[in-house]
Amino acid sequence: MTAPLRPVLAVAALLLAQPAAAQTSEAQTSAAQPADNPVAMATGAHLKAMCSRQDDRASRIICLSWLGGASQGHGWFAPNDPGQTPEFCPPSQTFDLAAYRAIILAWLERHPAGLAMPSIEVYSRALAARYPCRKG
Amino acid sequence: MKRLIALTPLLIAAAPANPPVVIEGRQAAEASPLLLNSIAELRTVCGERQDVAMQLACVSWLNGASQINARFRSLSPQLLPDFCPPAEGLPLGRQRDVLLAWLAANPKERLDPSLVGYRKAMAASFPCRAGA
Repeated sequence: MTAPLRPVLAVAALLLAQPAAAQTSEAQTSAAQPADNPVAMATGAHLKAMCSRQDDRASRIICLSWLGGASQGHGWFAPNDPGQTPEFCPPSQTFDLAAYRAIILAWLERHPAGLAMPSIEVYSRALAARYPCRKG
Repeated sequence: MKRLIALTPLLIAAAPANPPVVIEGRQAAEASPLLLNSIAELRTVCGERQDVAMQLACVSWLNGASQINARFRSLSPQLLPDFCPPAEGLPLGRQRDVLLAWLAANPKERLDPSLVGYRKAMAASFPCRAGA
């Protein structure tokens, strides 16, 4: 009974969740968002919690779907603040969500301070570190 | 359960998702509906009320897409308009309801990329005021 129940609870938590980084300032996000609700995918810690759990179906779906939603329009948007959410330039227009996941997890290993950052910043910084854009 | 188990590898193997939303939309739509590449897939997955994997995929995709909206501006506002959530917040469940209502009212756009449908749906309900 437990196994099928966990994804159901995750759905409920997501539906109730305020998409933190979407609606609050960075300071509000860091201070007010619950560290105990990783399905909200609001912080680097949430990204790590969801994306590193290969053994859990719900976590894998949450991680990869979040990455898909964040990635789909890449190239069609410009960051409001490139210092916080830098642009990245992958070598191909075809990308792989599993590869993005690995890049982000590796970046978080090297930058533990990222665990407290908004998840969208971690996403941008990690991919920009791996795929920097050439100037000019 | 079987279905849940079967769907997850599709996401993981997930093959190339599709960055430039217009250019390669149809090609990736052949991969898995859970990749949510087209509006038709968005409608199927987000309209699901029984399958837990689909519900998770829908709201998590909405979550990622909405976080991009907060930190990035569109370079093509006619195709991918920016939107401005209300001050009290915009829960993912409400985003899903708004999206499904828009998709039902705009059935001709079903082959367009999912992000186009999402941005147009949100912008229709939560437009940004000039100068915002």
